Amino acid sequence: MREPPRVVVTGIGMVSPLGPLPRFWERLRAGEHGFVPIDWFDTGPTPPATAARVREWQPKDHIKPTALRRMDRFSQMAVSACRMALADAALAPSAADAEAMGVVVGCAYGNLLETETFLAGLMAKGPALANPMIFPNLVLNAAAGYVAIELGLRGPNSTVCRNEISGEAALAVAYDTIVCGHADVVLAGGGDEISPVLYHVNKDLGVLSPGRRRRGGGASGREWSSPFDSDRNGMVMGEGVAMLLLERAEHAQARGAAPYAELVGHAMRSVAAPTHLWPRPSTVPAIADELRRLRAADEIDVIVSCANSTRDLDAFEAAHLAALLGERAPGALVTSVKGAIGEFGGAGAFSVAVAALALRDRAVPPLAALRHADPACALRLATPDLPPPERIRAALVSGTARGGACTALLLAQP
Amino acid sequence: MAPSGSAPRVVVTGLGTVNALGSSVAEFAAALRAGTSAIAPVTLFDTEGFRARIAAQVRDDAAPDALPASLRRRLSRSDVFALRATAEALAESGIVDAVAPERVGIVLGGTTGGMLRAEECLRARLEGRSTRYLPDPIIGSPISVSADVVADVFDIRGPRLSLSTACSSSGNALGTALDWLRLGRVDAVVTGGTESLCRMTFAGFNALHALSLEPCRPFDRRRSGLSLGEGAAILVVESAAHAARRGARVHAELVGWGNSADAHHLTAPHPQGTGAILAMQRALANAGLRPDDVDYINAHGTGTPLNDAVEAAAIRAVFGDAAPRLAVSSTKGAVGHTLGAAGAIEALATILALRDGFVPPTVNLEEPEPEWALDLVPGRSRTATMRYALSNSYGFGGNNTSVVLGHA
Repeated sequence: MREPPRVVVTGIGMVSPLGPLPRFWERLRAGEHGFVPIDWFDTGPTPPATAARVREWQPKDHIKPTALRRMDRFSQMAVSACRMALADAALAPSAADAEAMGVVVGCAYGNLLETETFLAGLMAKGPALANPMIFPNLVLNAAAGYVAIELGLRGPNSTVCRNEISGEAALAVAYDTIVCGHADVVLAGGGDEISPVLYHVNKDLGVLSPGRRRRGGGASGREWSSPFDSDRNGMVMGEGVAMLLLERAEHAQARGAAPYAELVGHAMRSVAAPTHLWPRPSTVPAIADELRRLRAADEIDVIVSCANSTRDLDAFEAAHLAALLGERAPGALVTSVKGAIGEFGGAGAFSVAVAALALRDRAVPPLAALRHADPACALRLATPDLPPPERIRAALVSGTARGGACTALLLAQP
Repeated sequence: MAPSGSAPRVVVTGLGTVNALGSSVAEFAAALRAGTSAIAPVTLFDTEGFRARIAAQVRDDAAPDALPASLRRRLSRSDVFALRATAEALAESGIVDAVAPERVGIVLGGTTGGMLRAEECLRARLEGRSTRYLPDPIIGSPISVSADVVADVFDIRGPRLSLSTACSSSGNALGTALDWLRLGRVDAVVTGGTESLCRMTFAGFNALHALSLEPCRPFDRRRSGLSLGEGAAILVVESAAHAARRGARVHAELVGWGNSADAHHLTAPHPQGTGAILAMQRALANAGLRPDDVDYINAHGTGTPLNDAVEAAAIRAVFGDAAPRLAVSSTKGAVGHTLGAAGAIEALATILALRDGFVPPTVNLEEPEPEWALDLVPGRSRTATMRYALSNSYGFGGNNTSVVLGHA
């Protein structure tokens, strides 16, 4: 079989709790976080609630007013992130190549705010007054549809729904789309938005951090996200959309684009887990064999983990990564973005963006909130005091979702 | 954009379904052949205040007895359909005993998942009957959950994806399964889609005036909208070599697929059908076929004025002189528009047509638009020996998918 085409990352765009690029990257490396008090909806009688909300984003900077009026907030985030990714890649779609340009968006819930509005209206006022203007926006692929419409992209178009790893899964689908010859260029990534109902669902489920516990002291009253910390007690919700421009390497080369990184390949496997919770550390996905088949698998210097500060997922990740790497990459530095931007469907798209940025800049953003590393976690954690690694040859993005689906994406120097 | 010459052939070795026409593949096949329509008054929820009050609702909707009570309680209606269709497909294919769990993937399409239960939960809160957000129902509403439940019950440990591209969701799931097998990512894939009726979609299409007040009549001059439906169809697919090695029964070949975006409007199809044309052309190229190799098209054919006109024109544009000798039918007058499951249920209808040698009729079609000059198979099925067939699915977002199936 002929050599499969190589796939590179040539653009990144995002709407995030740390702002757009390059501010996101500067702040993440400086150890800043995006958590703010929730003051835009009622979080109930418990202590002040915190979430990582997108900031420094003006939809009108990216979307013309006529289109903006119809579009839901999540779609606005996705279209904005895609426009930024295309600009970053210095790629202007033309009618000639629009058919070879695809879109894959990953999200767990998509347009939750209008879904809640529509349903509340339906329940309160009956079907005769249901809003026909909102309804088309409620399909999970509205964002991917709007991206195609706004940017004129006529190639393969898909939306992947896989809880917290929707972003990684979207990038895996986009990779396959290019390798199978369905498209030359795919905008891929994902995210989600915070909504009142989803906040309360997570709270009732007991997965949110109930408030920071200080050693030897009381609670500070703020939720707190610190992946791999022995005192971690739950996740904090976040939101945002990150989109990456994936491109067939020859296509990028022909137009003189400078890639951030090569997306070498991916592996997807799954383990048993309840549909609404993460798997137990005793279960191990059969990813190691798949990963070993990928070029550069022995050169992993950095791991961007999905660890989200919950007891379960971080313990699972620690066991899974230790087994995955074994003695092959004992020095790999492990980090996570969830301590800075929280947890949400599609959050893994930010992990992939960080891996690409890390490869370009030889920098690993720290686990800034980490105070007491979990002794049960036998990994080399990226604490703030560590100097940057001497080299980053390859970076692994590891993702595990509620329900037990797992992904591993491998990126390397282009 | 054809696959490389050495890409393995992929075949369908397991079939399963639950839909308004039948609770098994055999029942579905018999009803398709007989030209039965399952569109009738909705009893699943109160339709007071809706303009249209009919749909192709599944009557036999019990969860499988064999499951533990704790699991049965948590299942959404979409989960139940998916589990039952998968049980039938897996039992028939014998794949479970033949392949390691991590070498079996799952990719399903759907659009509303557990929405029906989420609606009940939300109503209880709004009416003050509950103060909790009852995590299970709402966290159970994303479409990814059906694949999680199916994977857990049947110990499927390979790649797991859920795709949602509105009414083309499960067409894209089938195509993704084909890509995985061609790339050698897995040895077998459980693929298809599942969808349950819910108030949200019913109210939404009702508000858009897209629902027909009488059972839908695709491609008819008097067509006035669609009729919703629900159900699941699941296929087991694997490489032809793998199927041959284990002596599996082959129902059909999954030959190719194509997907495109209209990039025009969120709900209205492109007036020239450019996206639909591109998806069909891509599917044929991906399959390595020419238009005159195709004998039958299972059309998207929703019964809305716009969709059917654009699709008919797109078929004529792609097939040109070969168009008049094609059989083109829509099974939506029989089984309704099952949204995220439509691509899978209609691919299944196409597989049965190829395997059993009949053309499913366009049920409720009485007066075809004459200017389309297509053989739209009104009313009654007929016997035919066919080699290749296309299944079209088009969705909100301007999403177009065509899947090519072949006689085994």
